[in-house]
Amino acid sequence: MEPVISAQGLGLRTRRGWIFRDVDLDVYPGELVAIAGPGASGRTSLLLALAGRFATSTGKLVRHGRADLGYVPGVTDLEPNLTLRDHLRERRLLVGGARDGESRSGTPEKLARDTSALDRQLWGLALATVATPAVVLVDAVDSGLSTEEGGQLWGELRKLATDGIAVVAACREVPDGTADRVVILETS
Amino acid sequence: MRLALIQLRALSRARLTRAALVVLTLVPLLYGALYLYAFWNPYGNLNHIPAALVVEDHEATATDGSTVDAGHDLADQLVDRQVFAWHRTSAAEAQKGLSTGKYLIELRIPADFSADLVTGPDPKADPKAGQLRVTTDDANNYLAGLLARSAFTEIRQAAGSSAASKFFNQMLIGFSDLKSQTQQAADGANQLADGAAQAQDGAGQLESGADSAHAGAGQLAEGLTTAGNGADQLTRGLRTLDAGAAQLADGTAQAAAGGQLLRSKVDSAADKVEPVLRDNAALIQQAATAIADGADAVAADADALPRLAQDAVDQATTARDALDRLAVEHPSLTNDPTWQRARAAADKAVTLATSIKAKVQDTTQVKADMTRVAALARQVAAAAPHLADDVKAARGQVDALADGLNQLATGADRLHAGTGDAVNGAQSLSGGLFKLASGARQLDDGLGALEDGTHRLASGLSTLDDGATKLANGLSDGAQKIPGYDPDTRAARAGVLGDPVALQRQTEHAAATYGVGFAPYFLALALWVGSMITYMVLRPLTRRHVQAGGAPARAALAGWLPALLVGLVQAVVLFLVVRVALGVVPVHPVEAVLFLCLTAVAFTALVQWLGARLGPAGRLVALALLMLQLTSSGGTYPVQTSPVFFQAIHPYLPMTYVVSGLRHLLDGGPAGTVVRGGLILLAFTVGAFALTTLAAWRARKLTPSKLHPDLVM
Repeated sequence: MEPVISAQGLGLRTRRGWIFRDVDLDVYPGELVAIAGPGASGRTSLLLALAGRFATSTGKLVRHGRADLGYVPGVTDLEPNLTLRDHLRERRLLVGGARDGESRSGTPEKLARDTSALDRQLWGLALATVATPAVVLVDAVDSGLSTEEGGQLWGELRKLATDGIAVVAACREVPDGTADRVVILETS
Repeated sequence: MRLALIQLRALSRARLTRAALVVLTLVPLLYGALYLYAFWNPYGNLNHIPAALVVEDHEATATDGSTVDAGHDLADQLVDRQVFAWHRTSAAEAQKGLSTGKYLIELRIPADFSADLVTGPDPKADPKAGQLRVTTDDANNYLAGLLARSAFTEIRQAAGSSAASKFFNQMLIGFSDLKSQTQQAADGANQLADGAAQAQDGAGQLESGADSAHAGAGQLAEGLTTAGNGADQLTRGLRTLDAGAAQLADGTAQAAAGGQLLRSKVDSAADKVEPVLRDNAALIQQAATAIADGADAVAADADALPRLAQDAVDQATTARDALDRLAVEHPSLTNDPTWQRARAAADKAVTLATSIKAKVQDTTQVKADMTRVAALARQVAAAAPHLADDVKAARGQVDALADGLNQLATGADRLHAGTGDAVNGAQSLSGGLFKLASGARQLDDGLGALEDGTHRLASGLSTLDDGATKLANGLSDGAQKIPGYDPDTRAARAGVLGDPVALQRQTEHAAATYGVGFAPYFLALALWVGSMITYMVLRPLTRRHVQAGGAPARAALAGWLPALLVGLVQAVVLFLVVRVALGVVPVHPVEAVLFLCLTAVAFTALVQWLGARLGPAGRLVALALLMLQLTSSGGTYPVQTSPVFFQAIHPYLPMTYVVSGLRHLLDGGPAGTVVRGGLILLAFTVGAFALTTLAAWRARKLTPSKLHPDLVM
């Protein structure tokens, strides 16, 4: 089985310094990989880079299959005045997928502005799976969530992985036993 | 103030924001300086305005033989002066170029330009002083039509300095009032001359008549005087005649009386004599013969008498002389009484002899008498035998004489009576004739005065006639030379005098007002601003869409279509307000609306691309582009009047085509421009969308600065 994402020595350097550096990672289908690190450690940047949505200055990235983003703050922000159904319809129009992800969330009529953090994550997952990607990448898995909500979210992520979609989740801390593999980023 | 500095410090920390601060200070320049730079001196840059110069004129020959090529001269002048960018073309090319906007002004010099100049003013013709025609097309540019007015000044100056300028000075000048008055004067003078001629004729006739009358009166007077004189003479003569008749009557009466007496006497005498004579006839004969012999003898001797007398005289004289000699010899004899007696006797003898000589000197008469007596006596002797018969006959004759004398006396009486009447009649005739004569003299005098007067009148009228004729001729000639016009043509000609080169300005596809002329410009401006504002509320590209992982075109479309819908509504609302509230009536309304919608399509696509490509800075760029388009689209002054920079970018900006297309749709004009503009706008749209799609594709790869932007607009 070939990895969905294969990164070797991936790094990004800006004027202000390295965002991330020397990342070697292979993500296989059905794997749940976690990227953990403190704030401003480049988690989101690496996540996006792995999805092919971020500039890199060194290293090599090879992807196979489609990589879709779940909830990544600042990247996949929801339209405040649209509902989940609107978003799903929009995503479908943009992507052309047919998968119905409504069942994963129980609040299709809620406006995005009224959603909780968990809702946003769940919505993100619903939207990401519309196009039946090979890997879903989500960010801020543990931010703004209570422990219970966090557990629920990890459960959803595990479900995705079980369905054969690789999941890459960026968070501050990874609860033990939730991820198959963990990449730890350290700030320099 | 310190708060402000804190803010600014925040901005100055990042490079982008520092740049943004600089840009902020420069943004006003976009409108102020750029706009001013573009329209600094449109009238000074007229020499870039392309103008078509169509010369259809031919050479003409003036009355003095010189050739005039005013049209080509003017064309050369215009080209040399370079006030506009003149291009010499044909009429068809010029018209085509004007409709497509290749030329903004067309000047046409007509075919009879030189000929008109040369022939000079014709009073019967309409005023046309070398008509030039300037044509502009408001569908090209509204202000170009106004700038064309400055072309008039230019053309006028060029015409004034061209070779044919002197002919412009012969242009028409109105003398209407003078002419009409002169004409009236001429008419009046003509009438005067005619009247004077008639008067003169009349005066001449009058004069000759007066002359004749005077002559006639003179003759009449003379004649009457003569007649009077004659009548006098007649009277006198008649009087004389009367007197003579009276005398004659008297005389004849006396003669008749005498005749009677004579008859009576003769009768009585004859009674006595006749027998005597009869009886004594022989005696008488003898006696008469004796007398005749005696007379003959006397006659014969008569001749001797003088000789004898002379002898006597001679002898007496001799005796005296002898006595005198004797006295001389013997002076003492003188005292002798005998001698004295002898001398005295001698003197007496001489004197006597001389007197006798004198008396007998003329003997001729005596001889003649004696001869006659002799003859007479012989006649008597001859007649003696029948003297009594003669007396008888004489008696009968005397009787007859007496009878005749009686008749004569009677006739003379009657004559006398008649001459008396004649005298009376002649007297009255004479009196009447003299009265007539005096009257005729008065008439003559009067006619003489009249004649003088008519002479003077005739001469005066002749002079008047001459003068009036001269005046009439002179005024007529003068009036003919003066061209005269009715008030309308006079006004037209006065206009021509002030403007010898008549410039007709023709405006194709005229825009009714400034508003209509500038509507395309402001509509385009409005839609661009509308697009900018739309993309201040809507996002050119939503990151969510871009990151959705679908086709980038869909993300681009997702960002464009909402703004496009808003833009279409903007266009329709704009059109409705301009059409209904402002009353701009387009020549092609439906096409105008569609074109406005197409404009909205293109502008939104372009502004989206700017936002998609440049992010927040795209708005500044959109603003800058707005300024550039405002100055270089040619919506106000023709772009040729702006600096070269604007002319260079003019064809690359979409507003240029929106303005030209809308102009033609609002003002009318060839569809080609609209179609071309529409196609170019479509191209802009397609290009912009493609670029937006590209930007959407590239935007999937984020960068740290995009993730955490320093400048959020």
